[in-house]
Amino acid sequence: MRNETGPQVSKLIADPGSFRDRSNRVYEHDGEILRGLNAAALSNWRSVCETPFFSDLLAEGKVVSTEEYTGEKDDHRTWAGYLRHERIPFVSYAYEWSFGMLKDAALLHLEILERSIPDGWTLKDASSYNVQWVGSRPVFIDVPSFEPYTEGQPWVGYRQFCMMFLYPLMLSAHKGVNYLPLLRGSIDGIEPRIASNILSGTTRFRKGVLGHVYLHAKMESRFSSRDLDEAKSLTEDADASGPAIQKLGRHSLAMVLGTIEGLRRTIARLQVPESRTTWGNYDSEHSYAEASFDIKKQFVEKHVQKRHRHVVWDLGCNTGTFSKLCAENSDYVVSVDGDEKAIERLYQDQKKQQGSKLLPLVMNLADSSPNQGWNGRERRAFVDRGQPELILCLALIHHIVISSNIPLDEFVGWLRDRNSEVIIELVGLRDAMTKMLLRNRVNQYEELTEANFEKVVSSCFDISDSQPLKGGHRKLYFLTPR
Amino acid sequence: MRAEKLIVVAILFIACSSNAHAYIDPGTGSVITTAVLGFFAAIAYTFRKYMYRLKDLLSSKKSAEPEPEKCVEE
Repeated sequence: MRNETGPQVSKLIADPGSFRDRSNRVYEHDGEILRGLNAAALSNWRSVCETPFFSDLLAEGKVVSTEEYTGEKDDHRTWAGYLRHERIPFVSYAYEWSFGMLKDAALLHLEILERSIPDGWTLKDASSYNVQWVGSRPVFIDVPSFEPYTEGQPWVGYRQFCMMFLYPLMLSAHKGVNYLPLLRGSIDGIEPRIASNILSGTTRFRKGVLGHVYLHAKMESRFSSRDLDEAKSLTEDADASGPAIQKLGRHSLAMVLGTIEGLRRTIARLQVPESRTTWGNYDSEHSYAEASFDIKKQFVEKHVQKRHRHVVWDLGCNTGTFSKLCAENSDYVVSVDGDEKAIERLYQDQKKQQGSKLLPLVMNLADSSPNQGWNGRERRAFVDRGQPELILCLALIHHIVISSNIPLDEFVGWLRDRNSEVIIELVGLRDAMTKMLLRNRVNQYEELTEANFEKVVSSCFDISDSQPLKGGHRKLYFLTPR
Repeated sequence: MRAEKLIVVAILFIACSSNAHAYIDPGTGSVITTAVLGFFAAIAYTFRKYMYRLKDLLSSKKSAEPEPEKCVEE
C-alpha cells in the first residue's frame, strides 16, 4: 500500500476548502491529490485500511481509491504522513445536484455508516462536500473521516446529515421547494428551525418529519437557550472544559444503527414531485423536424469525432442527447442545464450505465456557482474547477441573450476565456423558440442576427465550419480560439 | 409539551456517561433528539433483526428437510 517516493512538500498547494478538520489537509502536487495526516489520523488510516468492510468499500468504488505516501517533512506544518487519492475528474457541490443525486449521495453516506459501525468504525462528520462524483457514481472522498467507534457514543454527524441531506430532500419531496439556492446560500445546510417552519401543517405527519424535523428543532431551541444560561452562570475560574454531550446518555449500538436504518428507509421512499417543465421533455418535443435534427447530430458528430478529447462541457445539455455523443470520444463530459428535471432525467439514465463518464449538474449559466465560503475560496466557482477542450452551446444562446439579458459580446468573451474549441448554435430572431421568448418583451436583441453574430465571434475565434439549419432560422458553428 | 418534557427527563434519568469528541458540534438538542428517536428505532431495529433470524432459521430448516422422493417410472 505504501509508496516510498515522497512528495516535494515545498511545492504542495493547499486546497482552500480543506481546513475544517485540523487532523488533515488536502494538497495538490503535480496534478496529484495528496492529503497530509497528523499522527492520530495516520494511525486511524493504517488501522481502517486493514478492515474487511473498508477494503470492500474501496473495491466497490464507494470510497475514493487511496494509498499511503511517505513524504518529506514540511517546514512550517509537520504531517505524520501522506495519502494519495485518485483524482476526481470534476469537483461539484450539492447545490448543483439534482434530487436523485442528492438522494443517492445521502444513501451512500448512510450505507458507509451501516457497514462501518458494526466493525467498530464511524464517520466523524456528515458533510455533503465529502461526496463527489465519478461520472454518475457517488464516491466518498473524506478518508480521514473514518475514526474508531466506541459503543455508547452517539452519532455525532446526525445534525450535519439532517442539515445537508435530509432536510433539502424533504423540502423538495414534501413541499416542492427547490433546495439548490438554499444550499448555495448556506454552506452548512438548512437549520432544523427553518426546515420545521417550512415542513409545517399536515406535512409534519409524513414519515420522519415529526421526529427528525419538528422534535429536532424543538430540542435544539430548548437546549441552545439552556446551554447559554449555563455558560452565563459559570464563574470565571469554573472548569467548563468537559464535553457537554458526555452527560447526554449512552447510545447503544441498536439505537445508533436503528436511527441510521430508519433514516435510510425514510430517504429511500422520498420522491421528487413529478411536474412537467418547459425543457424537461425537450428531447422528445424539440422544435426540429427529424431531418434538421439529423443534420445537427451529424455536424456535432463530425467535430466531436475529429479527435479524442480529455474534458467536454455541454452547456445547456437538456436531457443529454449531445453529451452522450461526446462521451464516446472523450474522457469526461460535464453536462450542465438550468432545468433540474432535465438533469434528473439524464442522471437517472446515466445511473444505469456501467462506467458512465458523464456528470450531470444543475446550474443557471447566467448565475453560475461562484467562489464562496471562507475567504471566498472554500468552494470554487464553476469555471475554476477545470479546463474543457471542447464546449457545446446548442440551443442556448437565445436563453442567455434574451431570457437573461446578457449581451452577446460578453457571452462570447466568456466562452473565449475558457480557451477551448466551441460548437455553438445561433438561434436567430425568426426562430419559433426565440419568438416565444420575445412574446412579452421589447425586442432589444438585434445582436442575434447572423451577420452580427459572425462579426462578434470572429473577433476572438476562427469560424472553422458552419451549417445552416431549419431553413436558415438557426445556424451551427465550429469555433477555434484565435 | 408535557409529554416532551417527560421524554427528556426520562432520557436524562437513564443516562450514563459516554465520551464523544468531535470537530463539529453535534449539538446538545440534536444528541437528545437521537436519544429519543434512537430509543424507538432500537426497538424496531432489534425486532427486525430477530425476525430476519427467525426467517433464516425457518428457511434453513425447510431446506434441511429431505425432499420427498419422486416417483420415477421405469
